[in-house]
Amino acid sequence: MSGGAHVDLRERGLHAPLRGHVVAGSVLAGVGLVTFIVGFSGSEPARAWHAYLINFLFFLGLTQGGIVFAAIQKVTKAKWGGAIIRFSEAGVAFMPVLLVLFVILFFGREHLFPWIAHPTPVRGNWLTTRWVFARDLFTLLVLSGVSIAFVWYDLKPDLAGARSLVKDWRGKLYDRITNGFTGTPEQVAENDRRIGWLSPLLIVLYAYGMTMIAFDLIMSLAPYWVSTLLGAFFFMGAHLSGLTTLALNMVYWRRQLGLESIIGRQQFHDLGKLVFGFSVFWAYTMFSQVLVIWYGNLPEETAFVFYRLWGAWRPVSILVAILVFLVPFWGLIWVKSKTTPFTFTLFSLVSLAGMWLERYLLVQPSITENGPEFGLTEIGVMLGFLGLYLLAYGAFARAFPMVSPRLAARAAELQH
Amino acid sequence: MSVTPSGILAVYKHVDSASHAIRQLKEAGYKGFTVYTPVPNHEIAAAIGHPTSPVRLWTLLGGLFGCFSGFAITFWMSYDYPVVVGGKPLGSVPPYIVIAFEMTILFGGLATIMGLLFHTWREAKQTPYDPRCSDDHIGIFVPCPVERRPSVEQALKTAGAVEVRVE
Repeated sequence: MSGGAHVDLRERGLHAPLRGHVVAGSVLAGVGLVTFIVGFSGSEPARAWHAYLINFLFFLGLTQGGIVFAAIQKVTKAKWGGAIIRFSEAGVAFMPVLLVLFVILFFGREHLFPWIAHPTPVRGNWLTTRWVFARDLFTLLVLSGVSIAFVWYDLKPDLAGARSLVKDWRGKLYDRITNGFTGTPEQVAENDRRIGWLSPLLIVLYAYGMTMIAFDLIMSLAPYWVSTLLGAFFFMGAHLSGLTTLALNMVYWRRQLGLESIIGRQQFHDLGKLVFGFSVFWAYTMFSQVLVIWYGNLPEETAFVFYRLWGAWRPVSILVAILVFLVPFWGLIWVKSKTTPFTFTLFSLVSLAGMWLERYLLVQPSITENGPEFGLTEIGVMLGFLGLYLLAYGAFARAFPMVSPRLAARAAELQH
Repeated sequence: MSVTPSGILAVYKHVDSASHAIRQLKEAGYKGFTVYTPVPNHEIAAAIGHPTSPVRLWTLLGGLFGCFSGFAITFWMSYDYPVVVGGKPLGSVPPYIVIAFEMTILFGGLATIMGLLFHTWREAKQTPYDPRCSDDHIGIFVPCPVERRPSVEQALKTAGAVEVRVE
């Protein structure tokens, strides 16, 4: 890549158009806030809190699952994702927001966790308010901390390269992060070494932490049900939603930043293969759990599955299987549909909608006596979370370069 | 079966000139030519592009057959020699999915190998070959009628062929 193009990429990455994020984000966050307040101060406070928990789990999954994509790229020393890796790292700005949202969740605990009103001595002290919230807050703190550190060190060389182009608060921020980094071989090696142990650490902590969250915030809603696979099912699904979110971000920013020349067929094809593969993996984990429960036929295990596979919840279960597995499987099995932005966006949206419904299906039947309800409350709270996500994402894009000329150049080496 | 002379075989020593020749042939609208290379090479693969392989149809048919036979064998066995296990119905789908899935993979894989062998064997019979292409040279065989030969020969030669001959 020539020097001119390099400077051009730096400029373009620093001047991401953000009006869409700010306007849509504020409007949606406002709508969400109003819906939520009307919801929990109205006649059905529990319903608003249910929607809150579902969306917390969904957005935590797609944020943290997306950052893990970047960590996997580093661990596998992959180059093809160089131009898109920042779009997944940018989600890190939402992690502190999620921490605040988790603290807010504490105030809705009476509406969510059946073991508060009906304690479960059979689980010992494991399910007590203080212990559950303390360990989950700690888990989220550690996950956010390691994610931020990981993105911090991956940003460092790019910020050093873009330092001369920014001033005021951005200049001060970049000075703080680069901390004397000028790109000497020793500094680069030191930085790579840090990323080298932070990325596998993040992946392991992701699996561990998300399992904890899944056990505490999903499994404990049906306190007598146990499944050791639920954690893996939760975080692999979350990774799938992280990948589809990255796909949408990639299509959006590719056009907004004019990156058609560096995000090409290769990136679409490879990310498409990942989305396809993890759709299959989602079906695999789901089926392997259902099969074992079906075989064992133990009443304390089957209740959870029966409740979702028969009766009022059956249509939702079928819809989830269609949206997360069948449609993306047959849609993305073709090369053409992966490499065409329109179809790739379409199937990513379908998969993402399916993942939301899947979180809904994991949570809702355990804590409500009604059948499936999908109304203004659920939509409003979801839009509110989406708005906060867009605002946080936009804040990251305002502060940091959205494309890394260094990593994009490495990806470009593959093309010829 | 003897090989009938039907086109032009060019031999190249360098990857650059061979991929250049491939690009020129494609630009001129030639399809169905064969490239021989002693080792897999990214540049040549990129020059050839992504033509659709006929083998994938074999994989699909093999996989579908495997899936069908997996369900067929499990259901047939269950009803041919009925043993009630764990109070489940005789024909219970959940565990059979595992068998059908494995059979899909097995037959899909075997059909892929068979398709690969079939197509390469047929092509190997039909297209002329230079033994140097198993050593350190790259070969391109272009099937073409007699009247087009001079222009193709010219194009292959200017791209840097070590040898161009009518086969």
